[in-house]
Amino acid sequence: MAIIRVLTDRGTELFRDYIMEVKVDSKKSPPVDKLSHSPWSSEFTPRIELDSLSVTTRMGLGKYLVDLFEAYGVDRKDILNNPRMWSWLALLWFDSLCPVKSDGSRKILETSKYVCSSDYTDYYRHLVAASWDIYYLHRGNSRLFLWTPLYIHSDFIEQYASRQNIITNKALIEALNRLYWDSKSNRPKKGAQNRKKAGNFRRLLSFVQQVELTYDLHRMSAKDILALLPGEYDPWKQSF
Amino acid sequence: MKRRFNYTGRKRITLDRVSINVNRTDHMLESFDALIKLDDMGLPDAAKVYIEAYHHDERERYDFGTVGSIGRPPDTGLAHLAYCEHLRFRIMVVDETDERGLILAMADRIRPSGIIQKRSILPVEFCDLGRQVWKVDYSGDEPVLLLNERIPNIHNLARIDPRFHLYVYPAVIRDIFTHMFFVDGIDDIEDPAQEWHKLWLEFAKRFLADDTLSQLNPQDEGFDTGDALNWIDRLVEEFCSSRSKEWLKLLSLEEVG
Repeated sequence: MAIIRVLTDRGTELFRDYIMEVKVDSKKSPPVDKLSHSPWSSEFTPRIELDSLSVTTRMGLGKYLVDLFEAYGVDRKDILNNPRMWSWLALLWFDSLCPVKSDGSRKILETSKYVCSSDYTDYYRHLVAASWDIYYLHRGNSRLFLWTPLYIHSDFIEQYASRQNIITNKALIEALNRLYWDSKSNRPKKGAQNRKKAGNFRRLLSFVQQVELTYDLHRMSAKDILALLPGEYDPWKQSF
Repeated sequence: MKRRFNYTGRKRITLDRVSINVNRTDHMLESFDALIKLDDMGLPDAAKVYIEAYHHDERERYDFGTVGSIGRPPDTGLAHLAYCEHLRFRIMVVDETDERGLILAMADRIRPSGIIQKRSILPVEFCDLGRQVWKVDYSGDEPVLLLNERIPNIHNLARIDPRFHLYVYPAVIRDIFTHMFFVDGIDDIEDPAQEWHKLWLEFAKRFLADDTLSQLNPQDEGFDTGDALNWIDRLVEEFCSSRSKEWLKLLSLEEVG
């Protein structure tokens, strides 16, 4: 069992250095032994105990964290703007976020997936913070973004989640789910991310960015938004 | 992607019509007040007026009545938001007799301040960029220069340090015009659809007043990417040439150093 902490400046730099080093030496171990000690980390208030991580999807991780912080009465605003706590959690769970392969090496992604940034255009790339935040905002409808294993950052997140006006629109995210989520296979519909396919999710993003300057999308329901879409999206609606 | 097509005659609310002031208690941001003047804009009295406060993935909407009867709602609290110090505001006038909520007029990225705001073409924000000194964020309606708040005294450096002015801003200008030409793909050099393209091209004309810009229309058959890159290069060179005071300060600093 671990108690949540916050990386200090030195701890953050240590973690960042590790990410650089493991790109050269893919078998290098993360500095988890420094996690619970000053000067690498400091206490988080309130004191929160973590169970060992038993979830396998990002949605499971998001739900676990939302439930955990709610159980301890922690305000969203106190953790949304706390990138070093998210970095500490990523270091704690590094073996799950960047698993060791059978040959002992790791496939490391870019730094922002592990070291959390306060720059909001990078924040959504963090594997832990984004899982919590997207689940917090959209609960069941976060599945389109968070259905993957813990170490995957999907294109749905990359394209939609960094856009403030879009990720805060609950009805729009519900409409996205109605279009692109396949309840039978429990994953996005085939072709949703295929850029050559009519009505793919990137084309929808372009469409939304145009109409949001014309219509007040935040007062619309998911049904209203779906009704706005041109004909190329009809096959996606019908197969829901 | 072209975001600025305006098929419905949406009007722009200029900043001289808007004043947003924040109220603080013990230096903590608590709420805001707004003065909005929409008279003479030809907007229907019954159209709704909303103000949204936003940053990151937080967004809160406040109902300020109608064009004919603008009024502050009882609660304009901001204290529940995580990013109070970085908040921006958006004003929207919406025709709700249209079931889809047609936006009749809008002003965006408003910073809370005095009665009249002078809008910079390059808003600056400070955040943790890891080990990057700066980057330009294009995710919104205009480019925003992000500076790394972890660098000591970065606020003052960005404002007055000649080294910063000569090392960073030329690269920023190059970045912005490269993005404009080769990522966004400017549609019309004389009357671009995107507002920020227009403002930055006007900025460029202060340094390059010749007619080479008019020959860089990407829609023309003869458009040459090499010409565009050369034009950007000349612009940056002219911008640097105009910074003579900073250049002299830089030289004296280097001599002392």
